[in-house]
Amino acid sequence: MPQLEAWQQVLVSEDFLTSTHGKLSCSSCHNGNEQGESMEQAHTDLIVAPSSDPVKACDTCHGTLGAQHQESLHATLAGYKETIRVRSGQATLSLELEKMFEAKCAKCHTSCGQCHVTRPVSVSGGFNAGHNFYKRPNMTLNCTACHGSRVGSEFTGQNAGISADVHYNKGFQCVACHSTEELHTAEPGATSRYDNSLAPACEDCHQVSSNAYHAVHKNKLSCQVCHSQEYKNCYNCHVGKVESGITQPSELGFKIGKNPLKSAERPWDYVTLRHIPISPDSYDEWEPNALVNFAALPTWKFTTPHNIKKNTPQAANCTSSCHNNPAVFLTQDDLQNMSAEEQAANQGVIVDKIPD
Amino acid sequence: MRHSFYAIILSLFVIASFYQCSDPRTPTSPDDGLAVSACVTCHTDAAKLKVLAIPEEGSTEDAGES
Repeated sequence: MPQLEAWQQVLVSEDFLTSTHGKLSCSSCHNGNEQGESMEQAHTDLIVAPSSDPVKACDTCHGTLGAQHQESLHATLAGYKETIRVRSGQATLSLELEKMFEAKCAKCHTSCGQCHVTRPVSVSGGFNAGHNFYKRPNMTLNCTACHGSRVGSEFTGQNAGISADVHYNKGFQCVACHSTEELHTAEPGATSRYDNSLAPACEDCHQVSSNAYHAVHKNKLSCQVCHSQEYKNCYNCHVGKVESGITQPSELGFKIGKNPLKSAERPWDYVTLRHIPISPDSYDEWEPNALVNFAALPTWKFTTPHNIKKNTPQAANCTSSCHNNPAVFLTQDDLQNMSAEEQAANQGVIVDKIPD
Repeated sequence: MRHSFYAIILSLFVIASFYQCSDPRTPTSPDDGLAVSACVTCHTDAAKLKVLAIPEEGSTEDAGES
């Protein structure tokens, strides 16, 4: 996404001044000196992003939303932090890994303002609507500004040869499925977006039709196994200390594996799996050999590709697309180029026997 | 008597809430009819901002995770 010019990032529109938030004084949220005669004077003790303290800035009028947000994964990024911690084998992240996390990962930490006023810091921020507040985050300017390289490109059909998600083609934005309640939920202790009990499920809207395929596969396959297309798999992360370029390109692929998150809500035996952006040397520039416990977690993880279609190659012809077709399953053969540790980490999700 | 007391307390609470959320909080707020905020003067004027803005070495990297 092209970033805004510096002056565009802070240009306030006239109509903001008559909006609910615009009727508050600037300094009541941003501090500073409104009578300052120079920029330096006016910016004395300036709070650029008031919602970095959402309880103080937002909850005065918005109940406990700010406090809830502080406990949500969007704010804590606990999912990322916990997996790095486990792979590092450290009780808490080392100083160097903390620095890496703050410099790289935390750019996608989300405050109230980064969903409802500005673009996220990861794309250099700036007002989306002249400082006007908006209830529904904009899919492009907010959600996929962070969730862009995989989910966003899948959903909007930017991967070569892969159709956009049927929901996108019907005009749905992210918030059509991801509710206010889900996104604002406090999730203390959660380490995965899938821990959220308010996360959307296909059945929230779709009644599963009683055709023969559904009858046979119900509870055995997740919906995405038959109704999603190839998606991006990443094998490393662009967290270099000096440059932030991607060190290893992503690859389109589609792999069915054993369900690592089996539960009452996710009872399926087989699900789609995605390789996550991590390798044993991902953080070496920050701390050499930091991931001593790399194989503590699988690198192929449960995924819900956002490129849903009714008719996919899998759904078109079961017998040739999945049955007797090892190419669509994650097997030991797919792990051959990986280290022995990574192979060991993924033993729980690979498919041993291809269905006939 | 007791009801009057409660009514007064409730009224005070309503008034306090109104002031908390609806009213300008400083005499320099945009709509108070007094001094115009320096913030408003500059931040609504694109030409001024272009002069004042210090171009930053910003990242142009593509969208990130997920």
